Order: sequence, then C-alpha cells, then structure tokens
Amino acid sequence: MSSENRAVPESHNSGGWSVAAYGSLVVSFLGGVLLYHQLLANSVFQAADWPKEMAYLHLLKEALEELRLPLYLSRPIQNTSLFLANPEINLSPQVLLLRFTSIEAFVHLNILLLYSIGFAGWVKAAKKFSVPPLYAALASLTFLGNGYFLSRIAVGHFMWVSCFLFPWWALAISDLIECPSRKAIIKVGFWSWLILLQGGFHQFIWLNLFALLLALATGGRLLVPLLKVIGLNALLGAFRIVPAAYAYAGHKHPFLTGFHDFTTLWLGLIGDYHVGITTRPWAPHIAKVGWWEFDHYLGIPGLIVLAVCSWAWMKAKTDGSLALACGLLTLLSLGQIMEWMSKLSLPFVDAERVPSRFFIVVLLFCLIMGLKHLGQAMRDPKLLALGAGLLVWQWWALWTHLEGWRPEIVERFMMSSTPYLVHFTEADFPLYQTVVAASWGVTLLSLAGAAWSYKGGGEK
Amino acid sequence: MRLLPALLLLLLVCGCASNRAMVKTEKSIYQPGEEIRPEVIATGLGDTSWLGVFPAETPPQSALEATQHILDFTTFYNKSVVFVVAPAEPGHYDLRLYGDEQEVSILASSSFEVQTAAQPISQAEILTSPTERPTRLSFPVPFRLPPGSAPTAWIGFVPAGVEPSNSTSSRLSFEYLKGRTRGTAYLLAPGDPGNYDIRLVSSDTQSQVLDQVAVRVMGNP
Repeated sequence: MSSENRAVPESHNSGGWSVAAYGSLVVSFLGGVLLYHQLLANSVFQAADWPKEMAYLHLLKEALEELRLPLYLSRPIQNTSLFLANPEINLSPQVLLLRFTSIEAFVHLNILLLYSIGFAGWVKAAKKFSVPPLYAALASLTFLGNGYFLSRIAVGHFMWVSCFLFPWWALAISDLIECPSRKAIIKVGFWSWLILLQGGFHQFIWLNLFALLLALATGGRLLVPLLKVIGLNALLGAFRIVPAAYAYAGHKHPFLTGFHDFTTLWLGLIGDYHVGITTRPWAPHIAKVGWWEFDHYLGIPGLIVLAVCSWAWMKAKTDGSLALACGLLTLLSLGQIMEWMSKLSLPFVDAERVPSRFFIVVLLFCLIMGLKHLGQAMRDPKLLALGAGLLVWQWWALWTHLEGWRPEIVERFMMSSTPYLVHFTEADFPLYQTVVAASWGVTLLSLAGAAWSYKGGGEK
Repeated sequence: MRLLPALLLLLLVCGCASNRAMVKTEKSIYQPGEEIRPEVIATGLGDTSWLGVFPAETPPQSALEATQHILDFTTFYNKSVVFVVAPAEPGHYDLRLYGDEQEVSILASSSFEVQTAAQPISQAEILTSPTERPTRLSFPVPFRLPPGSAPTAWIGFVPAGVEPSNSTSSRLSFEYLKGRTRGTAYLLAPGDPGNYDIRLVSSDTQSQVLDQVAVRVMGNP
C-alpha cells in the first residue's frame, strides 16, 4: 500500500493551459448545459415523480414566503407527514431562491448550479493531477452528462442532482488516501454533508458504504481515518438521519433489484433505451423497475473514455485498495448480496432497495483515477486532436440518448393527471419536534466543531 | 458533545415506542356522497397503508377483519389526491387509519356524521365556466351529481363536436366519480391545442351526457 502515499504534485502551471485547452472546457460545459436545457425545456413537471418533487418545492416556497416552520403535512408523502423527517427534501441554502423565483425556474437554476459545481470539480481534478484540460472536459461530460443523470432527472428524481457534487467528494477521498490528516477527514465530511443537504439521502448512504468498503479494503493505515469520516458524517448528517430514523422506524422497504447480472450492467452502459422499455427476454426482472434504474448510458465514445481511464489506472498499479472497494461496490450493485442484507433489518440498509444505483460511484472513481494516472502520458498533440474529436462524438451520443427521455416521451408513458394536493397543517407530536431540535443542534455543533478543527487542527 | 449522540439514541428509542397518528376531517357533517378530503398526519406507514370509512358501531378490528365493513377506502403511497366518499345512508361513521394491510390495530380515527341535505342536488352540474386552458396542465373542475349515479360515471375531456353517444370511446383525460355527489376532479388538459368539451357522463356503457362545458386549449407560451 505504500504506493498510496505517493502524493501527486498539484499543478501550479495553470498559465500553461492554452486557449484551445480552455476552449475544450467551455465546449464541454456548454454541451452539458445544452443537454439539461433540452431535457427540461418543454417539461410541465407532471410526469413520473415530478408531481411529488413539485409538491416539495411548492411547500418549501410556501414555508419561505410565510416564514413558517415546515413541520406537518396534511397527508403522508413517502409514508410520512413529518416534513422535516423526509430526508429526500432539498434543504440546501439555494432553496432560499424559491422566495424570489417560480418553482419551475428554481428547478432549472438548481440543476445549472449543481452541474456547474460538479464541472468545477472536474477542472479541479485536472489541475490537481496536471492533466490536459481536454481530458477533464471528456471525463466531465462522461460523468455529468451520462444516461444515469439524464434518465433520472427526466423521471423526476430531482434529488439525484446531488450526485453532481460527487467529483469533489472523490477528490477529498483522494486527498485522504494521500494524507489521512484531520483536515482531509473534515473535507470528506463537508462534501458528504453538502450532498445530504441537497436531499441526497440515498447518495449519502452509498458514499458512506463506499467509505466503509474502502476502510476494509485498505486495512490498517486508512481504517481509522475512514471510520472517523463515517462518524463525522453521522454527526454532520444528524439533522436528516435522526428525524428520518424516527419517522421510518419499523417501516419495511421491500427489496427491488440490482443489475442482476453483468449483461444488464453492460447494457446499462451502452443500451440506448428510452423510458418506455419494460421487459426484455434477457432481463425479465426489469419489469420491477423502470430502465432509469439501470441507465448509465455512455455510448461508444464514453465507453472509450472509461476504458482509457481504467487502463491508465490499472497500468499505474497503484490505489489498489480503491480498485478493490470499487470492485466490491460493483458486486453489491448486482443486487444479490444487498437483497440478502436487506433481510437483516439493518438501519438504512433496506432503504437501498435498488443497488444498481451504486454503480455511479464506481464510474466516478474510474474516471477520477484515470485522470490521476493519465498524468503527463497523453500530452501528444495527435492524441489531443483525437480527444477533441471524441468530445464532440460523445456529446452527440448523449444528445441522441436524450431523445428517448425528453419530457414529451416521458409524459406519454408516465403522465399524472393531478398535482399532489397537500398543505401544511397544525399538529402536535412533541417527540418529533424534540428529535428535530436536538438533531439540528447536533449538526450545528458538529459543523462549528469541524470548522474550528479545520482552521486550527493541524495535520493530525 | 459526546453525550449528544447518546441523547439522540435515547430519543430514537422513545420515538419508536410512541409513534402517533392523527386523522382530521374539515367538518363534522357531510352530505351523502360528498367527497371527504381528510388530513392524515402520520409516520412510519407501510406502502399499503390505508384509510377506510366504517359505520361508527363497527368494533375496532385488525385490518383483515375490518375489510367486510369497509364502505370506502383510499391508500396514500404514490397517490397525488387522497379522498374518500361519504356513505349514501345518513348516520354516524368513522374514518380509520391502518398502517398496512396486515396491521392489527387502528392507528388513528375520526368520526363524522352524514345528514341528508335540506336541498338535495337535483341535476348534474359542472361548476366551471367555459374557459381557456394551457396544454398539458391539470386544473380543478368542481362538479355536482344527484345521488344514485353509476360507479363508472365520469368527467373528462372529449374533443368538441363528438356525438354524445361516442363520449366514452373518444374521451381523453378523465376521472371516475366513484359515487361522489359533489367534489372536485383534476383534469389534464390535452396536449394538442384546440376546442374540447369537459363532459359529465352517466357511465362507461350508457354515455348519456349529463352536463358539458366548452374549453379552448391553448399552446403553452
């Protein structure tokens, strides 16, 4: 594991990036913006899960405008009427924008904001690993624009935008592996907390699961720091985890499905399917869930990017524990192990009833580690020209895939005739209120403690 | 600070032991067949949790035993609108909440009374004026209907000019009234701009148009 100590020097040569390099980043960024614009432009947000998400946003807007504490709903949504106990509701600072914008405009703004932060994460990765920005542009488009996001946002899994923050989390983990200092632990905790704030409850669970797998894979050296990460995440995330644990105590989530086998996983990467696909002879279990639960569409060009990144990582023969953790998470994403684990009634584990969702974390690390190990190896101008062509080809592949997930198509299959009829109401569940107050207190104290520790905590 | 997680754990344990639920109706007296939109404040419900209407004298029973007495019911999971229908017979009734289909006890209940209206509804009516609506957006359509209508009476969009007898075969977005004498349907405006009728039709099979209102559907700006 000694190779994991090898710190990759951060590039201070940003001035060396040429106009063409910046151009590739601009093209990649705008390409992604165009994808999401096309995905949302004609939506009335009334298909699939959008009515539920619009109800959440409508309620948040009402709470902000009336300056009321949003505690009780007039009916259960996601099996609870306790609004602040529902961990998939967006409680991030940008929600304040709802005071000034329409709900539809907020959806656009929130996606644009988180996409931009995610994109900045890939630029940061390029700087950190001294990689030509073109490759960051490619990795960024491969990750932020792939079918995983397009299909899920199309069907109203709005909290999935929290995954746009994953590159930052992965970079923080990379820092932690290089130097498991207190600051590095807090950095991972901070990004986990931000992801949870966006309503990324499932994502928070996966990332902690991945941290646990990594802790087991690395053994001695990183075991304690990674367990500290999980502990810090629990403290910072108390404001969402504890009320949710209270609200859903005893609730059973039936297991649905993972990828089931490697064929489905492969088809998830290259299958250009749209929302209407239900069953296929090779994967009858798909009938349980929609294709968006498998869709990670990269297309051929994205697959080339992924293959090159994975090859560079394997060739470097380093960060083996990270590779092992990715392997373990891939196995879990197939579903059989998670199905067995879901029967053990472990807290929050049974909430992960569609483990194929985990695989995006594996894709993330393949791309990040690929960038890290590509290093100086691919600065040949011919390769750069090839990369530029690949960027355009990839954008086109994703644009084509998007066709099957446009609002008009999704609405054809999954339109709801009615918005959620729900409003705030008065009730008195003292324990719920105490749990909310105490858990927010824990989070605020932990945040203050973490900030203090980060500022003056030193390297240990 | 280390005590805080322990405190939270304690609260959690207490929380599991004292989950509560409430059912409230907006008024205590309803007319026969009137739509009831209750407030249900509860947590930890199963995906098959449900709310049922029972005669008040029905003894408290497990969900399975109670099914023989149910007059109407609704579930919540992935359901955008939650309502039940007041029974046709005047009397005293309960709304009872069950956590799931296997639930052995009632989580919460609320009582209400059904009284015959002083002025019963004499004719079917769509209580909205001719209007313009944007495509693909839903909107509320209040209605009234005399008691005794077929369970498959429906209200919905039909292209303007369709023969009344062809209403059912030509309907677009629609909602069954499920025995309601007064309530609000939510109808999705068609995707194609044009002239349409909202029709209140006696049943799937008879297709007698009881009332209709013209609607012009406009393209979204």
